[in-house]
Amino acid sequence: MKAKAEEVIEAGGADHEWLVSQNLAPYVGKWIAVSDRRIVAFGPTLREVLTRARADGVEPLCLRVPEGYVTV
Amino acid sequence: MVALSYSFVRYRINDEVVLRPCLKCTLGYGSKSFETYLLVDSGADCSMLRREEAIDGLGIDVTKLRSIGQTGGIGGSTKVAIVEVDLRFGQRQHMFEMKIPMQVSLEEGKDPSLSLLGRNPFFYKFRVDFRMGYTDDPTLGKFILYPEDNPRNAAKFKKPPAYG
Repeated sequence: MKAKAEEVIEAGGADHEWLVSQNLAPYVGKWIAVSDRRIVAFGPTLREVLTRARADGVEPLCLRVPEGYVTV
Repeated sequence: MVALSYSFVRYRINDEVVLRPCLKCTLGYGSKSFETYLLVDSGADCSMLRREEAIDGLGIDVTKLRSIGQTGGIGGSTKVAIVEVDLRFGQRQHMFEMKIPMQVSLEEGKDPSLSLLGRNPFFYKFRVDFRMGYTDDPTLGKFILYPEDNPRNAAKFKKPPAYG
């Protein structure tokens, strides 16, 4: 019997697909908060961006843009 | 079976685009949660949560955590504790939820640059396919998570000798 074919779905969603197409260089060392395909807050700490986004009634997707070096 | 495909997150470093397999997920602990990314890191033995995310994202009082020993990486070693975090990811009707033990550094300034999902236990639950060359554009890439929902019978496989 043949194995059942696997269904592969794009699971990132709209904010993720928008985010991966952005130039994140201006945000190196910072946190950014994304909602509805835009950056709704950015700053040096997660606490700050969560507080700002939630004050506007948004539960954002948060990403830290690490310092610009490659990792091993 | 449904597998989940994600585009790599692109970071521009020294005029070069570096692709990182970052899983969009919701982390939870008690009543607190937030949506973020974890680096899917097949080179890490276990998962690690940065202190900032533990404290500011999940409200964990890291001063009350008990050390379980040291964890080492390329940047040196640090004293760590373990917290059990709720991990949720997927899309619409295909959501996955699990509890993941994550290490947290008990020393300031000794975090990895990104919180990460290491092999144990995540890679026991998902097979991960990293596809950086699936197009002729090296700045595109995706990784796919296949649930390991049909494990083979271990009796049919030769086991390596146990380590003492």
